[in-house]
Amino acid sequence: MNSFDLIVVGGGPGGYSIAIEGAKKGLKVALFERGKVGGTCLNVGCIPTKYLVDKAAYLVKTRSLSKDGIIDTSGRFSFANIQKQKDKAVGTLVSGTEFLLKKNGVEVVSGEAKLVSAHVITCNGAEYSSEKATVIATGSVPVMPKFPGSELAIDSSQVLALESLPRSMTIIGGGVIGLELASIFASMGTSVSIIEMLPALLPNAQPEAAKLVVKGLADLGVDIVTNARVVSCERDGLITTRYEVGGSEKSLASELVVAAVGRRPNLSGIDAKSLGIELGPKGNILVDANQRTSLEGVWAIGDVACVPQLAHAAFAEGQVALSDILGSPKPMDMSLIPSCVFTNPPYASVGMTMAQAKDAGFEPALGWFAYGSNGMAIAEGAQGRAFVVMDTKSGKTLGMSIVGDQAAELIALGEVAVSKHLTIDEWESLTIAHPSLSETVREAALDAFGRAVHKI
Amino acid sequence: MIKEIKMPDAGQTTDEAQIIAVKVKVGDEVKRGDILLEAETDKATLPVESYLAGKVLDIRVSEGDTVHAGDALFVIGKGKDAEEYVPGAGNGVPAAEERPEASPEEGVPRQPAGDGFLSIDDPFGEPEPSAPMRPASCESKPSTEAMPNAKEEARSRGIDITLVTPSNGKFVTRADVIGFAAHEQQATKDGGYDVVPLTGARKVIGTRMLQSCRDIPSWSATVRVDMAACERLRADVQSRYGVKVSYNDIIAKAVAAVAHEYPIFNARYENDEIHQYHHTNVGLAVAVEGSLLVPVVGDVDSKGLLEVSSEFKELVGKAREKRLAPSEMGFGSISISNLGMFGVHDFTPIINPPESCILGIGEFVVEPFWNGTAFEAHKYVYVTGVFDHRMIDGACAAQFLSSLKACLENPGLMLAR
Repeated sequence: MNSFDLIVVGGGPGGYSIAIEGAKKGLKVALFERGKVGGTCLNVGCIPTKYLVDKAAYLVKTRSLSKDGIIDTSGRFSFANIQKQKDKAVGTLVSGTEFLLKKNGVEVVSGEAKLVSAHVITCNGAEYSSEKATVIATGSVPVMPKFPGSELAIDSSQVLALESLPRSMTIIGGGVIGLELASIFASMGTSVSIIEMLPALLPNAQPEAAKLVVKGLADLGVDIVTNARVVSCERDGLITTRYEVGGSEKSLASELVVAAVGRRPNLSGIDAKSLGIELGPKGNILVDANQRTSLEGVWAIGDVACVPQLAHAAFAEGQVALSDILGSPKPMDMSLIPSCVFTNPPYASVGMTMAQAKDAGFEPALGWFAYGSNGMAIAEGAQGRAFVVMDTKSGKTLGMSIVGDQAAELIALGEVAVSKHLTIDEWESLTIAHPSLSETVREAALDAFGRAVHKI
Repeated sequence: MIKEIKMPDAGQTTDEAQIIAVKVKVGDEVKRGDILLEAETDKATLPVESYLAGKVLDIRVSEGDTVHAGDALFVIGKGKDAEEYVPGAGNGVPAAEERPEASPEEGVPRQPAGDGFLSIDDPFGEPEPSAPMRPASCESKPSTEAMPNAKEEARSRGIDITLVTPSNGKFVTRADVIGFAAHEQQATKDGGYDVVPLTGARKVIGTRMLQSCRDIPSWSATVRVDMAACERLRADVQSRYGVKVSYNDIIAKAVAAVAHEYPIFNARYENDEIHQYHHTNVGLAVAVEGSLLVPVVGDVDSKGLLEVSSEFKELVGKAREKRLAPSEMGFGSISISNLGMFGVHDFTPIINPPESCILGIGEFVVEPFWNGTAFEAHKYVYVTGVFDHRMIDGACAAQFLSSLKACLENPGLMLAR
C-alpha cells in the first residue's frame, strides 16, 4: 500500500493549491485527478472564458475606435484563431500547475479515484492511504435541464470548444455563466437571447449595479427574457426553443442552444451515503467552518462543498482546511469572498448590499460615482459606476459594487476597505494616483456622506 | 441643477428617429415647452420640447443624426452649476452610445469567408476578400499605366483614369481617354438617372408593404354601391347642421355598423394571434408629400357621424402638416383608401398590417339602372375589399361587403343594431 500524510481528490484550484501548500509545510502529498490538473477553472471555466472576454472586448473597442475615425477600418478577426490561442493560454497554465506540483514533490496520480473509507483510496487498481487527512475537492459539473428536446442543448464546456462563431445563440439561464457567454458572443457578433426563470438578473446584487449590467448586455444587442420557463427545443434547420412567459407560449429560433442553469457538486467516486458523509439540500458535502465533513478525517473544499462556486473561494477554503489539518484552525469568513461577473462592462462586488446592511441592523448610505466624471475613464472610453455602502453611524465601509472596466481589479480595494472596516475619514485621507479608475471608488465612498469632490 | 433632455419614446413600433432640425444653440435660454429640435420618425415629425427651464449647456446631436428613445440630446442647467458646467466632464450620466448593429437576419448558418476571417463590424455580412490573397485576374483593377498625354487628357476631363481600359491591353492612350469620355457622355444621355434617396418614411413604407404582401394571404372582392341615398344623407346633414361630411366619413360609420354584426372586422393579427377589439377603429389613407400616413379614428361605433367627420378632418389636416402624433395612428383594424378624386374606377389596395381589411373606394360612375319599365341613370361607386384570409374567410367577407352595400344604399339600416 502507498502511504501518504495527505490525500487530495481533485486537482482544481482548491485541490492543487492545498496539495502544494501541504507539501511546502512538509507533508507527503498525493493528488488524484481524472482529467487535467487545473480543474474546471483552468480548463473549461474562468481562464478560457476570460481569454474570450478579453478578445471580445478588443473587438468592441476596435469598433468604437473605427467609429471615432481613429482607425480607418475595423478589419477582420478569426474566431478559430482566438480558440487556438485560448487553448495555448490554457495549456501554459496547466503545464505551469503540473510543474509546481512536481517541483514541490506532490505525487500526481492520473485516474478516477474512489474513496473506500476515510483514509483509503483506490485508483487504477492500486490502494493508497492517508495518515492525517483526506481532502475531497472534486468540484462540480454542469446541470443539464430536462425538457422535450433538451438533448439539443450544449453545456458551457462545449460552447468554449466551438470551432466557428455561431450566428445566433439562445442561452437558458441568466446566471453568471450565462451572462458571461452572452456578453462574449454578442460582442463578437452572434445574435444572443437569454431566457431566465427569475424575474430579474443578478438578484443578489445591488439593484442599481444589476441594472447597469443588464443595460450593458442590451447595448450589445442581447435579448433578455425574464420570468420565462423553457418548454421544449426542436430542430428544424435552426433550433426552435419554446418558452412560457406571462401565461403565453413564445418561441425563439437559433443556431445553438446553451444550457447554463447552474452546476451541481461532483460526487463521482464518493458514495456519501455508505461512507457516512452528510450532504446538503443541493447535494453538496456539508462542512463546518473548518471545512470538516461529518466523516472524521475527511475535509471537503471548493464547489463540491460550497455555495459560491468560485475558484478563489476554493483557494481560501483550502487554506482553512490545511490550517485545521495541521492543528491550528483558522475558520472561514465567507462574507469577504468577492464575486465577479466578466460581462462587458464587468461587475464585481464584495461585502454587503444596501438591503443586506439594513437587514443586519446597520443604517447604511449608498454612495456612487460615475466613470463618466473620472478623467482616466474618459481618456480610455470606459463606462461604469462604483457603488459603496457605508454605515452612517460608525462611518465604516460595509460593501462595494462596481460595474465598469477593471471592476475585478478595483474590487481588491473594496476587499481591503470592507475587511479593515475603513472609515469615511480614512477614505478621505487616502491619496489615490491620478488619473486612475481607482479614484471613482474613493469618490463613491465619500459620496455616501455627500463629500465627493467631482460630483454635484 | 443640470439635467439631460432625452429622446422621448415615440411609441408603437418606432424606435428610431432622424434629427431634422436643431432649434437651439449652446448658450440659449429656454423655457419649459420650448421646442428644442424636430425629429422625423417613420410616421411623423415629432417636436421635442424642453421640460426644463434654463440654459442650453451642451448639444449631443446634430442634424441628420439617427437617435433612439432614451438617447441624450441636450444638457440643460441653471444657476451656479450651469456656470461651472464643463461639456463632457459632466453630470455623471454617460453620453448616449450608438446602438450595436442590428442582429443579422436569421437563416441557414452561413459559412465564414474561405480563410476563416470575419469582419469585425459585420461578421455575418458578405465576406470581404482578403487583400493579400486576391489573385491577379481579368477582374482585378485595370492597370493604371498610361501615356502622359492620356493622363493630362483624363485630368482635364475629370475622368478617373483607372476606369479606362487600354485598347492595346498594355497602357492607356489619349485616344482611349477620349473614347471613354464619348462613351460616358452617351451613357449619360441614354440611360442617365438620378438616385432618389430613400428617406426613413420611404423605407418604412417599403418594409411594411413588403411585409404585407409576403405575410398576408390576401384576397379581394368588389361590390357596386348605389350612392343616391348617401348623397341625400350628405345634403340633409349639410342643410340641417351646416357641416359637409365626406363620403369616407359615411363609409367609416357604415363599416362600424356592419362590424357590429361581424366583429372579426375589428380584429388585428398580432403576435400570431387574432386580437378582436371591442370597438371599431377605422384608418384613412392620406397621401402627404413624399409619403403616406394612415390616421385612425377610434371607437367609430360609439360616435356620431358629425363627430367622426370632425375627427377625420382634424387628423387629415395634421397628417398633411406632418404633425400627426404616433398615438393617432397604428391602432386601426380596417382602413379606407379613396382614389375616387383621381378618376380611378376601382383598385385593389394593400392591407396595412396587422389590420384585417382595407377598402379601396373608386370614383362616382353613372351607369344605367333598369327600374322595371325603363333605364334610369344612377350614380355608383365600386368598393373593393381586401381581406386577410388568416382571419376572414370568403363567405364572411362577402356578407360583410353585402351588408356594407346595404347600409350605404339605405343608411337608415345603420340604426338597426
